[in-house]
Order: sequence, then structure tokens, then C-alpha cells
Amino acid sequence: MKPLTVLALARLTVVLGVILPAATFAQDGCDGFKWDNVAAERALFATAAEDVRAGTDPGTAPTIVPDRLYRAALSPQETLRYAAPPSKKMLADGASGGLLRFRVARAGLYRVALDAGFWIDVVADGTAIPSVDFGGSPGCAAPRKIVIYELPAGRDLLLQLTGAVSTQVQVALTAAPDASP
Amino acid sequence: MHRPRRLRDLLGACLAGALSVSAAAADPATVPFTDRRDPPSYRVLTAEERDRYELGQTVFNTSWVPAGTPRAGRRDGLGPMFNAASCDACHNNGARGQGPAQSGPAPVGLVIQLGAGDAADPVYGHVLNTSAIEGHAPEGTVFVAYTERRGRYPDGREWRLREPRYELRALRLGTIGKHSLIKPRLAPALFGAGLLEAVPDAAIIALAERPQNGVRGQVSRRDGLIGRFGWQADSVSLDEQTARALSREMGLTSRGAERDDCGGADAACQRAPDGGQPEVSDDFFDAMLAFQRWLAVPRTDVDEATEADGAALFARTGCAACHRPDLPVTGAGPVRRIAAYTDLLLHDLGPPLADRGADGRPVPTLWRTAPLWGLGHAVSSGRPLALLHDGRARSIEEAVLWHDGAAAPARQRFGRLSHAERNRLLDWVALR
Repeated sequence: MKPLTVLALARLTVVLGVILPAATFAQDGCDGFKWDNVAAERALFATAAEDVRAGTDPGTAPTIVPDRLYRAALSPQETLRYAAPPSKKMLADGASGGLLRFRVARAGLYRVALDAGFWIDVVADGTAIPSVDFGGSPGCAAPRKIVIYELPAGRDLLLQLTGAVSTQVQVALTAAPDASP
Repeated sequence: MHRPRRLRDLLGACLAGALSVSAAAADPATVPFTDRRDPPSYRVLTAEERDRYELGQTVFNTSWVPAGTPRAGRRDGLGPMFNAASCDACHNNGARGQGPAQSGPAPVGLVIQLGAGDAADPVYGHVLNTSAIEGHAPEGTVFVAYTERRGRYPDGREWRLREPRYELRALRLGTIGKHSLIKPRLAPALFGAGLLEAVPDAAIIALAERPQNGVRGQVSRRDGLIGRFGWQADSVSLDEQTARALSREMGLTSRGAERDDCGGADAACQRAPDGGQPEVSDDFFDAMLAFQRWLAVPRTDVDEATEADGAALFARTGCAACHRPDLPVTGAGPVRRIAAYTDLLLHDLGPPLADRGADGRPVPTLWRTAPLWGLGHAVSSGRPLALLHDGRARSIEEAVLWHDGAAAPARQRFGRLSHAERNRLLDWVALR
């Protein structure tokens, strides 16, 4: 199908402008992230995921490590006890959720990538750490959503998942590209 | 149960009053946003009002799921075609949508409206839906490509703008209607929406009848009502604006829109199962309206000298002729006047910002003066700015420079300011 093009060139009434090279945009649905570099997440989501069962409270949360892909089995949200209330008010009808535990060796910016639109909080000592930024690519599940946090080194952190109806989620934690050593 | 929150509201209001250092800070429409994820109301709410506000915020944040999803309860009915699964996906915490950072697929907060005037595109409906539930296909995809354009101020300093070009790809039902315009629209901030609704019709009409600096705005009228919401003031109420967004961008029916925004020939869309009639129940819909009606405007403190200097420059350049710093409101509790920096009137800003037809030609387009309040919240968010109706402007300066048509004289006066004056004016606007 011939693409329909519209120019919004100021002060011009004729169609001008740069023709986009066809290769500029991949058509796999994963080209919608606002960041240039999601290569680490894309590569991780192409690997075999390690199965874990997400905890139903902080005490049962399994430990995950950065740079590995996990497939976490989740539980009905109403059965969970979170370390801190989800920082976003959302209806929990039919929602699943769970808790995962992790640490990072170096303080800095990290990205949490998911294959579904769960709401996530990273909780330290009972308090949710505000996210720095987030982005997604709606047609993509590898990953679907990425949230950036500035994380402290060497502390027990909890990743809390809430809000979506899927009973499992693939998740990976990576250092943000600019923060890599 | 509600006392802590109400107490917090009161303490917050008192503390804010004590710490205020500017005329803007005395504006009761504005409130400090201590937690961006939990935007406050502009006035203290009763317990019943607080319940509704919080339910509205909850529904606003909730991701909807397809009809028939097991255990989905009250939140099924998404699609079958849609752009976003939640209101919050585009109006994150009530703020404006994130625009494109660079050339590439349009982000979720930037939709393409189709049609001419109030009429929908005959093939795709009012909005091109770029997502679909399982078993259905999106109507198409949207790519935006930017080219850079450069120029110079009279003092020789260079400015740069990025010019967007939109491509609609993989159009599932073929080309759009031949009379349709392609109208990119970024999700606007919702802060103070209820206060804009509280501006009396008579005040808007009076502004249209008393032009300033030779700039005459036009009242948006439909069926005897005055439009004031949306980039072109084509919605006459928050009810209408909300129902339209639910229907056209999320595929959710409500009491204000009984059908999804399916294209005329899209039988699969029209046959898709629903998640109830309506899919957004009346109590949810009312709560979402309450959330928007009472949502405050983020306060940004500014010292008095900066305020006075910036306001004078704003007036001197003629920006204030349309971005009016003072409007009356009624029925809004303690708020009597607002500094929204809009006249809620329509103006032709010339071909550079105009919508275009499928042939690429600009079509004269009337824009509602965009309210500037809340800009400080966007500037301080740490995220890239994306201003104007399609997020093309990466800074307030770029947004000013795109103004043409009725606003050309004001833009030219801005350009003739000294470099220092321009920066002071831009800094002041960034504190609205």
C-alpha cells in the first residue's frame, strides 16, 4: 500500500522534504521506544527466560539479578501483601501481581523492562523510589515497557508488580546505557 | 478515613500560603504538587467529594482490558481498536503527553485525528487507532519525520525549528477519505480543566468583542453552546471531551458516546463484543469528571521582581492579547479569578501550524489559545518539552517562533527584543 504522506513544512504549500529511507523504521512493532538504545533489553528478551514465582509478600520474594531475563508467575493481586502501597491508584479488578527482590552493585540509573503493561514500583525500606522516566512501544512485547530508576548500591530492593491481568510477566533489569561502566 | 488526607490538604494550603513569594503563589487555583503521581485538588474537598476524586483518579490511571477478559470486573471493553489502554498513558498524572523525541513512530500521546470540521473520516472515524486487541488489527501506524529549519533574529542570533512530516502507513482499510484533514494532536495537560469550564460564557464573548492589539479572537460555537476544550475548542464541556476521548482513543463507550469510533466500513470493529452498555459505568464516568474538575494547577514560585518584569515583557510583545493573564470564574469555591493565560478564543496562526489535507496542502485552521499555566510543571519534570498541538516545539522559544497569522506581530516584537529580554521573557513563561 502506498503510504500517505503529509508535509507540515512551514510556509510551503507544495510537498517537499526529505524522503525517509525505508530502512529507517523497522516494522516489528518494537521501534516505538523514545530512546535510541534499547539494544540490551532487545537482546535479553531474545534469550530463554528463567522461570520464577514472584513472592506474595516481601518475605517470599525471590532474588533476581541484572542482565538476565525472568518469567515470573504471578498471583491474584488481592492475595498480596506489598512492602508499600502501589504508588499509582488503579482498579485491581482481575489484576495479578507479585514481588521480586534484587540489588545493584553500583549506584546509578537502571532500566526495568517488561513484556506487559504492569505498573511497577521499586521499593527501598518501605518507600517507593520515584521513577526518572518511562517509555514503551505499544506493538511490542520484547519488551513492551521500560521504566528508569536511580538506584542505590548494595541495598535490598523490591520490585512490585501490580495492575495488569496477565498471570505472568517477563522482566529484566539492566544498567541504563549511559550509566554503564 | 478521610481526615488525614483532608488535614494534609489544609496543612498544604496553609504552608503554601506561608511560603508564597509571588503574585502567582497567591493564586488559589494553584497548589504545590509534592508528589507528581498524586496530583491534588485546587480546594479542600468534603469526604464525599474526596472519595469521588480518588475514584476518578483511580479509573483515570487504570489500564482497560478487552471485553470478556476473565475476572476483569469493571474494566473490560477496551477497543477493539484503540490508541491507549488508559487515560494516564497519554495524560500522565494529568500532565501533557510526551511528544516525539526524534524522527520515528509517533508516541502514544500523539494521535492523528481525521476528518473535516466535526465530521469523521468516512473510512477510519475520528481518530486513526494504532493499536488493537488480540484478533483485530490496528487501523494503521504513524511516523513522524523532522527536518531542521534555521533562521536568525534581527540581532543576528540563530534560531532552529524542527518541521514535522507525518506518514500514515499500513492503512488497513485503504486511503483516508478525500476530504479528510490529517490532524496531529498531542494529549494536553488537564490541570485546571474544571476552572476553564467555570469561566462564564459572557466573559469569553466579551473578550471576542473587545480585541486587544488588533487581535480579534473568535468564539467557538456549536448548537448554541460555547466550545472551550481541545486544541480547537471543539468540545463544549468536560463531559463531551471525556466521552470523546474514551470512545475515539480507547474504544470505550460511555453515557456520552454510545458507540466506538469504528470506521463506516469496518464491520469487524462494529461487530466486536462489548464490555457492557456502557463500558464505562456512570459512576466511573462521573468520578473521572470530578477528578478533572477539581484537579489543581501546579504552582511554581517566582519572586516579585521577576514576575513584574516578565509580565511587562509579556504584555509589551502582545502575547497577553490572546494569552490573557486574568479571567473570571464562577462556582469554583475560593477561586474567583484565574491566570490561565488563554482567552479560550480561536485564532488563525497561519499556514506553518495549519492542518493539512491528504495532498499536503495547509488548510486554514483555527486554534484555541493554549493555556500556559502548568508550563513550569512540564519544564521542571526533567523530560523533554514537546509544545504546540503536535509537540513539534522543543522549547518555549520554538513555540513562540512557530506563531504566525494573527500572532505574527507578537512574534515579530518578540524577535526584536534584545537577547537578554527574550531570555527573561522565556524564563518567565517557563515559570507559569
